[in-house]
Amino acid sequence: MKKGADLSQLFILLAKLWDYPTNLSPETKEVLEKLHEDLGLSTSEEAFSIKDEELREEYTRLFINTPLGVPAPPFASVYKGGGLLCQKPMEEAMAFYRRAGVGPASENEPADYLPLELAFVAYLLTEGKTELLREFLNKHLLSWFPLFREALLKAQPHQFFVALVSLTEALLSKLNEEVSA
Amino acid sequence: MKRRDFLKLSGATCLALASLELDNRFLRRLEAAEVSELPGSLGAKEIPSVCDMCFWRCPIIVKVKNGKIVKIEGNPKSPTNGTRICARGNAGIQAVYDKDRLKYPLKRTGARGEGKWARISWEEALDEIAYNIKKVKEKYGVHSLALFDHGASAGFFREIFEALGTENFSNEPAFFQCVGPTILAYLFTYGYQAVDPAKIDFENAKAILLVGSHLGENVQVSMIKSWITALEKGAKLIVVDPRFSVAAGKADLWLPIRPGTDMALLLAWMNYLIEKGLYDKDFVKNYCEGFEEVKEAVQGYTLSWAAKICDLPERDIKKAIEILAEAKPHVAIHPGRHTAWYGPQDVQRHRALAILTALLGAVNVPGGMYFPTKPHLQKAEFLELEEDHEVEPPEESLKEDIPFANIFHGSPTDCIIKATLTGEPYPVKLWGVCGVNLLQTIPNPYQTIEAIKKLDFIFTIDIMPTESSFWSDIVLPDATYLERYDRLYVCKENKCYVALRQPIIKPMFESRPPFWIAKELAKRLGFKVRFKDEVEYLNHQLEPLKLDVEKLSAQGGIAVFPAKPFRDKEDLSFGTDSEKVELYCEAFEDEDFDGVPKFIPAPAPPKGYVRLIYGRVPVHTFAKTMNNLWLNHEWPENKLWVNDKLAKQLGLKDGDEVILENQDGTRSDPIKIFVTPGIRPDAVYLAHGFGSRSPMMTRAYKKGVSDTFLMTHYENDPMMGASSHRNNFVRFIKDGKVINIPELRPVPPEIPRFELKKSA
Repeated sequence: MKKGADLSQLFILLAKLWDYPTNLSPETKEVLEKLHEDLGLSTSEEAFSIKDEELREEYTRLFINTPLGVPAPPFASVYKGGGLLCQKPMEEAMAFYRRAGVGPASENEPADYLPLELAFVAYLLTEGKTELLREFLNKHLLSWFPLFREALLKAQPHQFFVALVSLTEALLSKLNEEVSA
Repeated sequence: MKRRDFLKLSGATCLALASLELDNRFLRRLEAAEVSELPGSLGAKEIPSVCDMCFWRCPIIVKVKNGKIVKIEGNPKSPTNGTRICARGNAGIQAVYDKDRLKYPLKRTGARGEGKWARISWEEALDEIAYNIKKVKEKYGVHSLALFDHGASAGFFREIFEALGTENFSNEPAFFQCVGPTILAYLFTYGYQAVDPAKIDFENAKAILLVGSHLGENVQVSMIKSWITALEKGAKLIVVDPRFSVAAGKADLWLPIRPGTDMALLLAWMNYLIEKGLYDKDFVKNYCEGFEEVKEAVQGYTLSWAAKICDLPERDIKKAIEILAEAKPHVAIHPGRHTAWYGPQDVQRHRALAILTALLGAVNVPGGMYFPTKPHLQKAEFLELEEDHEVEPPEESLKEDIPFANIFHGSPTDCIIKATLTGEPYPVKLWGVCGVNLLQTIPNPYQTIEAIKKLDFIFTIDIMPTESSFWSDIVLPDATYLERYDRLYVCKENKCYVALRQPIIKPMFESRPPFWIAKELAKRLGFKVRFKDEVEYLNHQLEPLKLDVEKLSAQGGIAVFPAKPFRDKEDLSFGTDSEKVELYCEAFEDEDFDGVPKFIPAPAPPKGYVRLIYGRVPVHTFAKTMNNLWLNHEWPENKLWVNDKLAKQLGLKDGDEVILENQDGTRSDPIKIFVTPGIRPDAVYLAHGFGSRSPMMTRAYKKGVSDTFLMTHYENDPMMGASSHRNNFVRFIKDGKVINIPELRPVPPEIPRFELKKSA
């Protein structure tokens, strides 16, 4: 397996996990644990022992529908578009995708949905489009991801999501350092 | 990138990662897409469709650019609304992009009403619903299934429940809390459905009578347009309303009537017309039955008596009827729409309006009642049932004691709720709820919640996470009207056309169109659906018009046909038994109701209380739109209208906050008051639909006060089973102290007083 592919796979994995992670397989849990070790991230023990039902419920609370509003909608527009869906950041994301000649495979979620953006990072890595990746990270994804992370942590999520957001943050920031160097 | 190994992942991690065999299913190669860089809605694609922000359904043009809906306008080809739509129509965009909307099927994980959910797949959600329907049917019998429905697409689910065999297959709250009493009254007077929407030629009226109407606050664009046109042409307007409504603001004569006494006014007017010989003798002689009975029944109702009962100046009552008599037969009398007001009098009050209309000869004439023109469509049944498919009525029906409930679909909502609570005459154990928010619609929502708690299973299909969704076991996300095909909009009024609702964008998230949901559910219940998809279903209906979806869309989304609102005088007959207008109703008399309406008063407020009345604001629909970004911005909360003299006496100022306590001790959240001379001192007014109790609707939650949640008392119309909404009374609580309300307009002894429960 090529190393470029590793990274790309890693971001696909992240995209999948942010896109409603049901049936967290033992293999996935293993990867996550190892990644945390490799990156020197501290995780609480309960992070990856989350039960499937609990995971679904917590995901729904954090990201889909919940009393008093979901704490951390996974869409750029919510953070950079006045708390709304489908604003300028969505068009911005779409414009980046178009420049790479791709678009969302499904029209279910708006283009600025976090899993889509992470999948786009994976795609750019596979294609070796470093310039575009740097621009995408700096001008778009990293402009809202920290706000999303903050909103998520404020909601006192299950340790699984604390671990997932730390992992995503660590990988994005390392990647950014790398492409900006 | 210079170094690819910057991450320094361990070999073990790489191996483990590789074993997951991940592929990037999120993205696809893009065809060269056209992207418009023009500002605003310039360069947008225009697609004709039909609005659904309220039930009026105006033809619209929707502009979509780069995959996003950017603007909605009226369809210039529409002979009714034309280029105009209302604020809600404009704000349809925000129904689609509301971040609180239901996005994926949800399954309740906590207790009912606790608000804990997990996203599940459509497969799982539909399987679970079908499983529960079968289980409940088997265990308690088919009539234990009930569907509450509303909206353009509810028909598919109605067919499923009807085919299952329950008598409770369409219990439209919209009917039993709203227009039902009027429909019954007009059906038995005129023999046709003259009410929904009102078959009244406002545009050519010389005088207009509105009794307790929300017109202008309840915006129905084409009706408002023709009403305003009439006023521009000089029509005189008489408005009967305890409140200075928008309509009252345009009136030549405003009659601020004592709530609950409208019948007295109408009966006295009928008597006056007859006594003074001012009625349309020709029309009554040739086209009506039962004039003598009416004459006899109303003769005691004098204007001075009505003045006392209604608390109105006699000269104004007289002036009003003279205006109407002078303009006859070109008099537009709105039959009323939401009329489930007081219970026992509701049908008869609208019978009185219907009879008054006939006495003025305001039928089949410009400015009066007209006959609808229907386009020739082919009937399309959703389900293909076996030839020997049969349904059996229950041994004892829910609606046994309500003689006229049977002529309508389904069962009165109140009967279903009571049966659910008591298990009598049979248990009701499963509710399906489609496109209707039961808890902000049906009086005594506390009772409805208790009923829900007794159910084995409840599922909801909706767009927003309303109170009903909040109390459900499974919630299915409906596509908005901008994301789906729907049943055709058929305008069968004094204009005649067919308009197509079609998707502008694909359904967002995992919301799905009702056709698809119903088809999947039908399949799981063992029914065969006749059509592959909506297009096939619509094409089947359009066939006799030599149209299909594609052609209809290409020609602007609308097909207009000539209408014939008035019949030739020699052909004029009615769909009643006698083929005439039945001023006296034998069918009612046979069931021990009055053949000609008699005065039935609504009980006056108990001492220390005022009546709670309610209405609408022009930028909202029911309790449906309060969470809409733009509409919420325009009108985020309601205020309590309080009469100025009353406020002064109580030491209350405009903007003060009070809590309302009703006759049963139920309290509201705090609400700001609006001090105005535009309401009687024996009533207070709230716009309906505010004060959401669903915490999942973040903009609307607890904004303002819900009138429905202050309605703990209601009475049923004994004829068709509607539930009344205007028999609740409130007093104020300010700074923790109860304020009893003085009676500024004394109640005459003919009107009984509402009796407080001993415990209250």
